[in-house]
Amino acid sequence: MRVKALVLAQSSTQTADARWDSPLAGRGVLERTIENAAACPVIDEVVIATDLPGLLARNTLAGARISEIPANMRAYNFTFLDVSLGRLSMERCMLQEMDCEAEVVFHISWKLPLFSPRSLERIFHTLLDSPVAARVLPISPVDPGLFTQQPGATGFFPVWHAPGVDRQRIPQLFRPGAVAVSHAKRLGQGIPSVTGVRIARRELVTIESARDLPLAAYLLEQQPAG
Amino acid sequence: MSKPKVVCTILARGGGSTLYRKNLYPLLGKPVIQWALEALRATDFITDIVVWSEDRELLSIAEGCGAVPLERPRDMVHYYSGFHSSMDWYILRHQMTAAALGYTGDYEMSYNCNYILIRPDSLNAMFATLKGNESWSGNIQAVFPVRPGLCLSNTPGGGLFPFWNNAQQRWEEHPPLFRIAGVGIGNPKLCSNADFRPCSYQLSEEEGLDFQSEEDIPFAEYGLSLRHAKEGC
Repeated sequence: MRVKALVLAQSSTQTADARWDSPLAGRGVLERTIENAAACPVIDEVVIATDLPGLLARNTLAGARISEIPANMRAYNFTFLDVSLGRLSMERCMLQEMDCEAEVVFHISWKLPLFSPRSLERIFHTLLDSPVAARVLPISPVDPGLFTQQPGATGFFPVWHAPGVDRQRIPQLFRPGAVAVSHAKRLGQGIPSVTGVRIARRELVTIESARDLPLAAYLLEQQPAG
Repeated sequence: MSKPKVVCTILARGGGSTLYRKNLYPLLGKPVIQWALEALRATDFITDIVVWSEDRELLSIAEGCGAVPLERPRDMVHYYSGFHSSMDWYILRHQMTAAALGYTGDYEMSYNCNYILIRPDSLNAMFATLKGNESWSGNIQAVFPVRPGLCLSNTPGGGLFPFWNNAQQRWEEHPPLFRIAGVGIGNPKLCSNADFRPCSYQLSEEEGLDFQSEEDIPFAEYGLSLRHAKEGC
């Protein structure tokens, strides 16, 4: 069984170009993400998928091979929950073009520097322990009581809220993390099952803007040993 | 024109369903309720702060921070205990507050200690917004944005089901999503006007942290350390 990790650093994510090399506790954000993947004992190879000129000018970063992302995938929105046939075909073609096909593939966003090797390993084992899961994502809980607002309105329209119902009785919502591990064979069979594993929210912090860097540095400093 | 009297009430209980004795949990060495009281005291519009609690330790901290401690009956601590209605709670608390302060506030504010990162200047701006909207609104709620891209996990078979999460659209194209924070201010004379409607004040996503569990501790401590460095409270 081959296991590869594809670290996604597309220019369409806007922040990638500006932030991939931002220092985070002494090392670049992307470098930290790659190091975590490389330190995960179940991953055989780490590949960076990018169209960023600053990265393409190199061959490797932190030991990971750098490969140009196909032009049709540069603006692709990787959400991992959508396993419709069209999207799975596109994702599979991308892996083929980048010489990154494997039985098990991790997709990891460049902006996820706190996701630990242990948690990567955990979602991998969840995938293979399950008899049906085709893809596993880390998830963290999101409080209920959610509303939307129509343009120009002053009031809020409930979308995940029921007046008088205690919050603990409202079905739990989650936020998926910007990482997924997929079983290539199962993704192509029947209706693929996507499963979630609860991971500490601190590991799912993403670098969306410069304001997130000091928070990530603080969380790194506070990270329990091991 | 004299300054309006604004009474802020904190309902703080000693237990905690998500983190035991949460209101006493030491964040950066200081109990949660003390952080809340210091932020409220740093605003420029609150006349008095009342802490309604059954817990002696919480009441003692409240008193030490200059708030008015009011002892809450033990059978009015759990929302669903079945002993009293929420209206009974409100009436008793209102009577106790008026008796302790010797006046009734022109404005009533409620504050949930979970919203530990709301800054004093945001609360000042929230009150100013209410005052500016009094031709059509008698109360204001704090709201904050929630990013889209969510899911349910308890579907049949245990799979994930997307919620406010359309892979065909970028996040910025999703309709906005908000949470209403447990912080509000009302003018009792205007709230009952049937033609009036609530207004809102939008906080930043960071200020909207709802301190609920152990997982929130590092996020709360980070936010408080920033606030302390900037504003001293």
